[in-house]
Amino acid sequence: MFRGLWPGLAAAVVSFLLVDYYFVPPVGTLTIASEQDLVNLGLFLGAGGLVGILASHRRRAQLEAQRLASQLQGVNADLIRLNREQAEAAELALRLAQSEQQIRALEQTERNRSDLLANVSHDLRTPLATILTASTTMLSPPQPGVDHQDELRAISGEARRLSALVGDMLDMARIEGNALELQLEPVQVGDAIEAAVSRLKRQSPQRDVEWDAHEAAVNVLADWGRMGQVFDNLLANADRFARPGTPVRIGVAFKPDGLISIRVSDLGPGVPEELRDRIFERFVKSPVSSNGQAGGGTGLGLAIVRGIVEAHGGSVVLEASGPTGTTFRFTLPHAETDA
Amino acid sequence: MSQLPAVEAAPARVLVVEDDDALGRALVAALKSSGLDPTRVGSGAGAIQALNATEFAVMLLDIGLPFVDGWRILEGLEGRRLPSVIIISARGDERDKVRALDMGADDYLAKPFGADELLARVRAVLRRSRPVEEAARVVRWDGVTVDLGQQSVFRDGVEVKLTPTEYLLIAELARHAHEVCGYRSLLQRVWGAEYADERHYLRTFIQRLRVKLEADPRQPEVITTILGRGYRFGPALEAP
Repeated sequence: MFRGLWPGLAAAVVSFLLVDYYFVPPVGTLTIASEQDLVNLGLFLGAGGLVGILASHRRRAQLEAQRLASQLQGVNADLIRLNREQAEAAELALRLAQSEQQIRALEQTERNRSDLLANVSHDLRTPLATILTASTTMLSPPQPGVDHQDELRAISGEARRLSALVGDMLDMARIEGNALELQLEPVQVGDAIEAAVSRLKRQSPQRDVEWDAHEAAVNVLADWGRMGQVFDNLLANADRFARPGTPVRIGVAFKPDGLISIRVSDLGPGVPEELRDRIFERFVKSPVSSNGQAGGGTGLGLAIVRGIVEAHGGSVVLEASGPTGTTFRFTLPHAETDA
Repeated sequence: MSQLPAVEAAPARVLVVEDDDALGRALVAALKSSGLDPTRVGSGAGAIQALNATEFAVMLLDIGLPFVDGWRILEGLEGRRLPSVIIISARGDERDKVRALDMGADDYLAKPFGADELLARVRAVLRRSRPVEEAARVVRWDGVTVDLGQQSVFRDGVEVKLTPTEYLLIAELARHAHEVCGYRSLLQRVWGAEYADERHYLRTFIQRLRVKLEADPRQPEVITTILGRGYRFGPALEAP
């Protein structure tokens, strides 16, 4: 309202008239009697004007500063908003990525579950078919001279097969759920081999197993039962695939990294090339054994071997496989019993 | 209706193709106890050899065989009248069943099954594969001739090779030419009473017949579908 040049000029004229009227002789009139009074009046008004100009400049600078400050405040608020929006966008992107990852993981879990179900259902059906066929044959009207011993043997054998499958599936579930409990103690490798070989002999009395007791007189830090399971699975595989009359060999050696390396070799036809990369996956089986029949086994043995060995801090590999035979090598930590 | 001949010259030969040793032995024992003559092989290659060497009336074929699987063997049988094939599979998947029937199998049995169920299926395919005397009668429509007396089918004068079940189905339709044959009645008369509700068997075999007999199987003129009721050989007779 009171901005610009004109209010200033008007104030100067009013001031001039008021000072002239009240302070310049003759007081009470608008007359200026001497030149000196005019000069004095001019100086007074000039000083006042100067002070006014200075004050006005200061005020203008103050207003400019206020305007800039308010502008800065606006910019600052914008920046804060932008920053918040960016943080929210980043968080959203992160959540999206996490969700996608979760979805992929869930999809994979679902695929695994459905594969497992298909495999388990497949592997349960054949022994069940045998048990049903054999038992219903026995239930048919009796025929002279038929004692059904074969059917009973089939039923008993298939029930054991189902029991082994259930046991292996439970072990696999423990391994995959990281719930394998190990009672670690120093175990002499030779003792574990001796026990496993005697178990194999009960199943397959004809099969020779060659191993060196002196070489195997080393201790590993292992769970006795689980280590036995590793040997049982590897020896059962070797026995299943080795040609009749050929021995299975077990070798034991120190490794420079302080692990004990154990090899189990057979003289069988070798793992088919297309299966070598997947042989430790569950339900991957070699199709034909040494007797030309189906490979047998639950298809979980090597997956369990890997799970147990890795839980001990070791590793297992298919070291060699070809027409002259197959060697699996696994490692277990050395137990320093002398210390 | 077909029936079993009163006297059997020799027990029917059955080829069992099963790689699982225990199940293979149990199947052989069950078949023997039922008066059949089973031979067992454990691989696809063995099956091919056995099929080339001997004529079997029925083959029990496992799908999951090492190297040469059951599908390959089924493919190799295309065009052969015998043996009638019963698939025994550890996969109970409906798609596998349809695929097996499409590829020429006569029946499909999902594991696990008992000896009674298996033997009933074997008897049913044997019954279907045995020719039964029938009065001479020839039924024709749209280039297709069904000679019921000779038990043969011709398309444009050329004999068409049909499996026993395919022949029984077209013969049943031809006997009632121009009339609608209901789903259940066809299944009971051709396959047997226990198959009355296996409608996909009927669908698959009708499709197999159309491929062999129709000029355009997608626009069938010989075997027409009467929706919700059944199938008919030729068109309906016009009312006088």
